Amino acid sequence: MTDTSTTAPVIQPGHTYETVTDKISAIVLTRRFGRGWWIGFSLGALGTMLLSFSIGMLLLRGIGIWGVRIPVAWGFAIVNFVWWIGIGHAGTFISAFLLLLRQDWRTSINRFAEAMTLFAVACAGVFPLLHLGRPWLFYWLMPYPNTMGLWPQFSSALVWDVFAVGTYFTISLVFWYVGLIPDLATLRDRSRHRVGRVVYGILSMGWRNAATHWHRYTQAYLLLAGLAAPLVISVHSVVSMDFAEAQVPGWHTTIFPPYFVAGAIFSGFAMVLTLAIPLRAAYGLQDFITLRHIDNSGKFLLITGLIVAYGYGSEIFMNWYSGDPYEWATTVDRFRGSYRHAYAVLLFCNILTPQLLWSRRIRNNVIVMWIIALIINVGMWLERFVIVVQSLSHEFLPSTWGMYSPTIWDWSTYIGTIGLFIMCFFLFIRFLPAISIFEMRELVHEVAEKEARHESP
Amino acid sequence: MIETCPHHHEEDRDAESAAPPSNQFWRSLEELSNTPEFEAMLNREFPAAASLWKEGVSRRRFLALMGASMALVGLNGCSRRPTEKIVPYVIQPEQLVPGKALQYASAMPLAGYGKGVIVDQQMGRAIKVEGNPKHPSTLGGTDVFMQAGPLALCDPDRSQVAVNRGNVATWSGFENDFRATVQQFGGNQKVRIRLLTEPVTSPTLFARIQRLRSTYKNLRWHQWSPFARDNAGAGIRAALGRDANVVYDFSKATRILSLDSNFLTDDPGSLRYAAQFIRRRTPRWKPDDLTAHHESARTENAYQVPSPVPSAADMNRLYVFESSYTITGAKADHRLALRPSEIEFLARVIAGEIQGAPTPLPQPLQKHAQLVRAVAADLKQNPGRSLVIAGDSQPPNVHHLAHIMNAALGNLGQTVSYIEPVEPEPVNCTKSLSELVTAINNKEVDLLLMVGVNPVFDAPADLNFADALETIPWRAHLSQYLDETSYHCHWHLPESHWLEMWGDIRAHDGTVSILQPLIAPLYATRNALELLSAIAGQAPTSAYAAVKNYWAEVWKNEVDRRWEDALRAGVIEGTASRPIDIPAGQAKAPDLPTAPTTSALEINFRPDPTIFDGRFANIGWLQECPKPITKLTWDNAALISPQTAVSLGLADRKNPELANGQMLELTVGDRTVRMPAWAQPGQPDNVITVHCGYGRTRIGRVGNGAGFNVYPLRATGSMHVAPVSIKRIPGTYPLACTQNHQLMHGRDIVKTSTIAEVHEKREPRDPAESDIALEGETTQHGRRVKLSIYPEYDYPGYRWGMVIDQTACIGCNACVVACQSENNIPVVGKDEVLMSREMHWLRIDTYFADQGEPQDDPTQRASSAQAMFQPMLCQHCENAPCEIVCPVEATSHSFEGINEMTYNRCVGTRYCSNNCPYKVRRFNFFRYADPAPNLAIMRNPEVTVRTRGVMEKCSFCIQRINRERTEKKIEWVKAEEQGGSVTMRSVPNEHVEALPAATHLTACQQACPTEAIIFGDINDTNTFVSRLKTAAAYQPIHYGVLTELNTQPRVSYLHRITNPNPALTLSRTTVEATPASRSSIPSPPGGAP
Repeated sequence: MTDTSTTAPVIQPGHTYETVTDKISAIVLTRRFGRGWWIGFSLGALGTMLLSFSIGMLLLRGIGIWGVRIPVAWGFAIVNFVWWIGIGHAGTFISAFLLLLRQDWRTSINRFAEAMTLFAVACAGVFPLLHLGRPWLFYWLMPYPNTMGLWPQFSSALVWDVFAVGTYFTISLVFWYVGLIPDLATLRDRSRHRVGRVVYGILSMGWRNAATHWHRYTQAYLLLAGLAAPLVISVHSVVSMDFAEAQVPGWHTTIFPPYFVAGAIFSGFAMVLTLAIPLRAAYGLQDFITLRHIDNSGKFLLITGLIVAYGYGSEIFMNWYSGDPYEWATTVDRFRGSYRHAYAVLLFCNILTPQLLWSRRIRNNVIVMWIIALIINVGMWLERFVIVVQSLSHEFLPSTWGMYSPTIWDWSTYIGTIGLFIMCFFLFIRFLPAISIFEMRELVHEVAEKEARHESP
Repeated sequence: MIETCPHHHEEDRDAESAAPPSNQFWRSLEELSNTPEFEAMLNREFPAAASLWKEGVSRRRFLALMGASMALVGLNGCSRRPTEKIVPYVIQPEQLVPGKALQYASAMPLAGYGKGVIVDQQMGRAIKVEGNPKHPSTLGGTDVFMQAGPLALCDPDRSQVAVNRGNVATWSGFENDFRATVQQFGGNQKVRIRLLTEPVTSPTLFARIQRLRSTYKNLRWHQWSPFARDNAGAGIRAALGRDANVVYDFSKATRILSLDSNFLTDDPGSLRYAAQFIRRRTPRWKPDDLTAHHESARTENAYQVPSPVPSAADMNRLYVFESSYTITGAKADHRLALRPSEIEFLARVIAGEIQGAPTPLPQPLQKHAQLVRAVAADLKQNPGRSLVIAGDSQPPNVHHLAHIMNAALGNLGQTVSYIEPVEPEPVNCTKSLSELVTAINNKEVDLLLMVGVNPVFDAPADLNFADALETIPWRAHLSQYLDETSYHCHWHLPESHWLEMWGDIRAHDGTVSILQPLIAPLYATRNALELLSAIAGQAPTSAYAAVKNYWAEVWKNEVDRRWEDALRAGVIEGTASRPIDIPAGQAKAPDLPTAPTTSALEINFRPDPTIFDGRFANIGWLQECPKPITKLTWDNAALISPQTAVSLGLADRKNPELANGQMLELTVGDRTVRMPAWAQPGQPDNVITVHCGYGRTRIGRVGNGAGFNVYPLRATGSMHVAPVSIKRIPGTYPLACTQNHQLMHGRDIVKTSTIAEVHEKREPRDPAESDIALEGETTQHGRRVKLSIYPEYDYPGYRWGMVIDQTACIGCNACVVACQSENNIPVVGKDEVLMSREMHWLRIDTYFADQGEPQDDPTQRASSAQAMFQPMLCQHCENAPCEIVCPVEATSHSFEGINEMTYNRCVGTRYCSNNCPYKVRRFNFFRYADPAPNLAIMRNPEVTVRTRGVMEKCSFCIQRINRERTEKKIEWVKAEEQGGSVTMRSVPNEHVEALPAATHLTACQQACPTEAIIFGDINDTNTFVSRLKTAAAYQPIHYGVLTELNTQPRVSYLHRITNPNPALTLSRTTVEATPASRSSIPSPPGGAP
């Protein structure tokens, strides 16, 4: 897909099977975890405690501690839900889509991207449950046999959501775990500690590196990739239908599914970069996560950013072209109303900023890329905020218009999920190989072969 | 003297305003104008997060839930009760059927006058108040105060025991102390007792007072009420030379001039007047049936074929000159906002025109010359069918002028009648109270006994009542709350609520009603009759005996029969005051006052629309009931015109709403009050209107500290209007407004027509257009196309629907509180209202539209704003957007077409609310309905009390539907059995013909004094509702709100029809002519930022 002669390699030259294995497994097995890890982990753990506390308060007191109200009955919870789910998408996209498309450069980032997906979906999953008025009855949204003979109402997008997100989490988890098995075996074999050997031994499910194992493993992995790939499209499409199904001006738009999927991958790649850039710096993984990866992610950001921009444009155009006064009033309100600053900032973050990525120099500048990724993360959060809150604040009857303002509990829950994400991620780095060892070895082999082919003739 | 010192209070306010500001209030700014700076300031996306951790919780806990059951919960919870065996009824008491309501007639006294009620009682608990159709003052309608009766009865903060000098005491202790004190001051013959009551119309109570006078030779009786009708009385005395009451007949009036009179709510006969006024006004008006309409509607619901829309000549036309925006002004065809002092000039000029002696208008008022002449001419063209009415706040001169005009117009005996005074001893209350204070200051009072009044709170400030009170050697106070006055008395005596006492009271026309208790007193309370009986020196009698004995003397040997009849009917026939035959005397008009100067600011004191003079301050329903026009809850504010806001520097011309919530210092004489401002469209310039009754300090947890006490600004010489100076002071105060945007933004929400236009467009509308409204169909290529993919449901049985007549709605809120009472709707408190979480299932949206030429300047526009009311409730859409998005099917359509809410099934996603274009769904963000033991007894047992986390909304009072269905089913089965053929044991829903006609009313419909809400079975072609929805005559003015969304609402609306004077409104009618042209006019701000 790319001209390798002009771009950075997917793995720095000079690596052998052994160096790859040593370098990656050392992060887990031998390297001492210094102050940096502990600080990061503690921040995450603090955030998680904040989340637990916020959830406790919520269950104790009721949803009223949040800023939701009539007419803006969905607030931060749904914003954060969509944001987190979107972030997860890049992980699946990288591991499943790019695997199926045989993109070799995915290898070094897919593992932690998948982990990111898993943690992001876990963070996302918290919100739809908590935002219920009676969270303890969440299971009523699922079809289960009950004495009342009642099913959920299948015409509601929220029910589709349950299936979409549930499936997504399950498949992501299995896919990630299956992908981990050979590496878990490597860790089991190299671990010098008895506990490590036992735990990794159990987790590696008796992997013996046999040819049959590899055969079946590859089959299963591809199959799972095949299962996961459509989810990239379907999950966020379904999430977007939470909005598109309703007749709220600003929600009732057919462009939403593709626009949401693009937005999801957009924000997901931004999050991959947000995580990968510090990770490679902290653990000296520049050899594995090379400028090539950063460059490719930048291109993905650019293309999905353009799709998102098209989505915005299409929405505005259709609202004008349809002649629907309510839709148009909502559009005008986005530019001139109470939330116009949020809208302006999101346009800046999501449309203007990615235009920098046309330049290779910028794509190859790690610091700038990290800043751009952060800006896009903010922009995509604001996009969901504007869609959810601004649309609801300015509907049909002016008598019902009203503003939303989050409370301290909205913020604490949001920050808490970020803490949970950080904590999980730090634990992941600490106990599991953040880069797929066996796939990197494979990559070393492939690169060597490729080079041999180049040289031999 | 905390009560009368505003400063203490202010500090509290300031402390509160330091809480996280809510910029809720500033929201509607962009409506009028869009200056970037202003919006930059206001429209922050992320207002400071309001912490609910501390303030929120405690405020909500203590204020919001009038529930709060502190003492009782604590006591009950901590003690182990002895085992007490209960035994079920061996023989059921007669009539007492569990689950079946009994109805008793009674009357609600308010400031001396009674309004007839019928109270629903379930198992001995009074749960709902309805109007008594037989009562002359109500005609079956109710107001917010009547509706709030059950909550007032159960208020946990009501006084429960006698208190003697701060200690709990007993009634016998009081009686002994009283007798001892009387002896101490020289015995019955010498002791100088003063009795202070509200104005008294009760015959029995008056007899009691007479007996007391005979017992105590030096007893003097004073009457006081802060909003007594002193000016009206003085005006009548000036015009007639004697005391009299005036009674109006709006059913005969086709041209009405209101001189600052809010006759739709502020008169003891308002409910009757409103009904008569509207009946003469709505398009469904029936010329042959102007009187007994209400009653027949309630008993049979069998309406005649709707008659054609009335002609412009027959429909009434209302001119209102007023100094504050009232609901009467909102119903006016021509409204002029004037300074209070200017109204007398215009009245004088109109009177001159009518009498053929024109006088010129003073220069500042010249601009109204055309209007004034047109009004005079219109009145003159309708002799005997016109009506001039002056407001209580206008000086006696204006009342006098109104009487002269009515006489000159030949209205006496037609639309205006004079009757013998309803009060046995009519007094000028202000004068009466002043005399009392003078007597106290002269040390002429040994004992003061106060009954039901609260003068320490509401007496004119220049009387220094509290100081005077402290000098009386012995003072006692009977009241429902241990209030400001009780605090200054040796004895506080708890007073019974009107739902738990015997008594009698006269209506505005003198008709007597007997008050029946619906429940034994909940606490150790007594009413005025019992108190006066106990101290009269004879053997005390019960209130029941007192009332019955009084009427036994009147009725002699007919007493048994007539007593029963009186209790049953709720009125005593033939007790109305005798009419006085007054010759149309050409009384001399009073002298003209000096010319008004427009520069000076005037302040207008008005009773609060929801808590009246302050007595209802502890009633959560009334505190949270949005005030008509302003939509404020929980507070009063200084209402100023947008122009005045600009001149005071509170706002700029483009953004008058910036003034809202800014603190002002109002100074009248040497007395000062601080309170927030509120820019009110339609308020006359340089006039500040304040509503009295707020700023209570000793009433209860709900009322204490809410709002600002403005009584300190009132003085005996300026009870209603006073010159004032205002100063802006630093600080803002959060005001909880339930409707932040009051413009329609070109959307076709309230449709209006003039009566002339209605007659022009009598032909039916484009069928496709009306189909969308009702059937969800459209015509494409000559073919009918359903606009829904879902199959149609055929409603074989009942099919419920509603029509709301926007011409008839006067925005009085009776339906809002009735709904709250009927459906156990919780009160959420000010902080939650600030978060827009009020729970009213039915709200009254108020929109402002331009009246007159469109103006570019927002401030100018606001001055001519026309308020319009639209009751908004669940529309029970056939194609309900809420239903398809609920993931658990908690909201669904019933087989009778009602959009039903299954609370138990709701998990609280709130998706239904998001998808509801009308935003009528309400969510229990917290557990608002705390099960306080006191409040539990007023709950309607037929309606579920909702828990936290579930959605709720209007159910069309399904409990009433089901109650009637059950009754009808029983009747049907019984009839079948008696007929000998028990073939079918259930009501055959599939056979419409066999269904009995539904006759029940929804709570809002029943409460509405003007019958603006019509509910019934659409399938039954005989019901009024189905005729309104289908009759060709109504099609041009019949529409649904937001039907373009294909919601197919079950609730439809009739245009708001006005009858403007063609001589005045040639340009105006073109403005209001069509929705399209109207929508092009940007309108003034809703006042609520």
